[in-house]
Amino acid sequence: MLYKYIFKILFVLLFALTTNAQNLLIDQGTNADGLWCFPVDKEPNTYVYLSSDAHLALKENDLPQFSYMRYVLEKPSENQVNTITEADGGGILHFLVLYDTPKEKVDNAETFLRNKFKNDSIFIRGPVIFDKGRYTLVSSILNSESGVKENKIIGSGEAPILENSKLALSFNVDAVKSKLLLESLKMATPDVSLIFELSFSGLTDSYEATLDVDWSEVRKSQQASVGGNLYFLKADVGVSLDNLRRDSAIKLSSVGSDDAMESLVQTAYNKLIEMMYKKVPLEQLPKAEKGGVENMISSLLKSKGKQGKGNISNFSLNVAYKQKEHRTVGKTHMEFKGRSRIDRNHFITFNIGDLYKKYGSNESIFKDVPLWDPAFQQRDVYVGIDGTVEREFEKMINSVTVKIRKQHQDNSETIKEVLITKVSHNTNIGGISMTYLNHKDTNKSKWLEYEYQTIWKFIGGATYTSDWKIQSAAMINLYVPFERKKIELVGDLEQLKAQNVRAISTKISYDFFGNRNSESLTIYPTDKLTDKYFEITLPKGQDEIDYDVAWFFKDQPRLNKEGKDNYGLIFIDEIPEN
Amino acid sequence: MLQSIQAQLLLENSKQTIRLKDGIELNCYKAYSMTTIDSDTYYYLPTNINFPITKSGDKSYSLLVYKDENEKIKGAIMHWLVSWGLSKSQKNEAQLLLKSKAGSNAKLMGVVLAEKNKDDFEIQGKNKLSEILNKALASKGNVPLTPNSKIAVAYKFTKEDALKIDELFHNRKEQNETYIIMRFLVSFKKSNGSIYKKTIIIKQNLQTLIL
Repeated sequence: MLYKYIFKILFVLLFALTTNAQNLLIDQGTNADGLWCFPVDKEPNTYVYLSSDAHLALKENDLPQFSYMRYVLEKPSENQVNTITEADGGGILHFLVLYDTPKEKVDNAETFLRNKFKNDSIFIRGPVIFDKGRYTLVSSILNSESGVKENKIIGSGEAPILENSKLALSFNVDAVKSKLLLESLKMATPDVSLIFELSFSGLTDSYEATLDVDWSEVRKSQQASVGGNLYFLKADVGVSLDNLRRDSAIKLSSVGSDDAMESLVQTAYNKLIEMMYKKVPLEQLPKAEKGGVENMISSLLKSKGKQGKGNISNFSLNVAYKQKEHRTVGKTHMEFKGRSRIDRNHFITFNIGDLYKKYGSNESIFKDVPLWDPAFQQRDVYVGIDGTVEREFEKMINSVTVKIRKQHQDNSETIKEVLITKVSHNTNIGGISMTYLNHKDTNKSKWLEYEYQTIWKFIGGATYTSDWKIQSAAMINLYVPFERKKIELVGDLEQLKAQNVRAISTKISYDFFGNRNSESLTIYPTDKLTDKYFEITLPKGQDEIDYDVAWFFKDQPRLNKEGKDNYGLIFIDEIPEN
Repeated sequence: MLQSIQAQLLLENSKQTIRLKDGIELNCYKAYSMTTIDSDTYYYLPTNINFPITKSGDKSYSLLVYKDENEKIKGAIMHWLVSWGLSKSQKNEAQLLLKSKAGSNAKLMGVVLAEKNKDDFEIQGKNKLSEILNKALASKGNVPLTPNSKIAVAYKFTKEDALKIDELFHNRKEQNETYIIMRFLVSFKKSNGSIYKKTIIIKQNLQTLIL
């Protein structure tokens, strides 16, 4: 019965490797004058090399395919105190990068191999064709989203697998980072590096071995150790497989020599990983899982002095592993014979370098641009209210209407108005404004000019409408259009008493924005004149009042005198002659 | 027939240590082949961590301390490109030294093709600079497996650490007590025939890299 659960799989790899990949002999590589070269299986004297250099792609005119543009945008200021505030803006970094190998290096490597092996037939056919490529950005400026230190790799993705294929990258940074990046680019080793992580595969030396998997034991072991995680890093997967081997859930036996045991374990583990896990690139992780996996990567990056985890050597930071549904009963028997294909990683690091030193003044490479477009501008005109106006809302003023009129350079006209009352003033302190747009107002100083008018409504019905005034200031300041005036009554009451004056009646009248106001006072010779005066409100600039004084006598008819006063003084002891 | 080269499997008991005139130490091992035993073929383990020289002649690191509008330090960033390996002249010197030590037939084939070790890069030290650098590590690449290639390391310092980093980074004592560690995996064969992978650790203090 047991037999029916045993699946026998025979892996004979020596002649079965019919993929398109180059069958380079991975255990037989040599560093030939700085270039790693590998012989190709069944092709005597033929070598391939690992690409060695990465650099910016060049245009036909030999300029690097690189640009760094900083832009400045105006933004609304919340600060109404300072007249110089921070503008908005940022930077856009764009470059194309590729990896290749200088011909001279290849020629030197070929000479090296020929001399080393005393064989002039050796030749280098070309570069290793990589199975897959990833890039990772190393930069504390471009990798940080928040501006604070983040132990995460944000910039990563697929990289070309063929030499000379370009990878285009673009980054948008905020205003502060754009300045920081510019300063960094002025240095010999700027804070922008790119790692190409290139995987290639090749054939190991010969081996023969068996691998037995007891799925019920696998299940038990995994139930005990998995916890709640759905995704793992390859390092954790390696630990898991080592544990399975220790728990005898998997058994690996080599037949004959153990010379290639390590390659064998690698091959067997890779086969098990294929059966038990699904590879998920970081960018394809579900949102909910991404944070957890990135934290695992961060922990791994930060881990210090730990012993190696598991038997997986070529782990990657760009891929997570998700456990597959697999069998839970029965056994699988696998036999491995011959060579096996194993994966290796090759890293090429690229740094932007001292581009600024060479091209800092070349505007096709480094440029600062103000993104000011008048069509998108608007003018805010604020209304400032003097404290006297505020006080007069209690006594004299019902409302103030402020109008602006803007004649645009395309001959169109904008008219806006705001109504200020005691209530609206109290709820919009400092925030009353009107806005006009830019209608082809190409002359900026003329665009800032506008006309304004104020209309005052007073308690009692009087109205004052100002003339249109031209100004360019950002604020229209409102001051009351009237002033208080004291009209004093002056005279010698003793003398008037001696002249048999019983009482003096004084009446004044004056214009107040279209209304005729009048007030009167009666004085007796026994009064104190210091307590007798008029306090009136006159439009600003208007001092003249009309007055009429009447003297009442004990023994003669009343006498009257009319006059005009500009000085605030009415003499009540100048009795006219009959 | 092309001579077989075993780049990955080294014979454990064949170590030859040589020291170049500039003080760099090289550990060389004979290579093992399943098909041919070539007792004259040696490979050396990774060695000589360095800051490569850029085209402009500078060492490949940068430290940028930035300030706010009131000229108060606001933060700092640092970027390193770190490499390992020998120059051509050092390799030639090593070849001659190996011949004098292991016999005239000894051939130094180059550096062993190591595999990636998980914790491949580390700053080690009990001093303040090491502590700050470890705290500020923002992102890094992988230790290259081929000589004279580079690993990129980016640091971002908090305002508090930025106040100290400029002085600490240029302090000789701090540099001397701050070590850069690289780890590799290399396969060895014991004399009893068993094979194992060993973590090869190379280290260099920061002062040596900067000077």
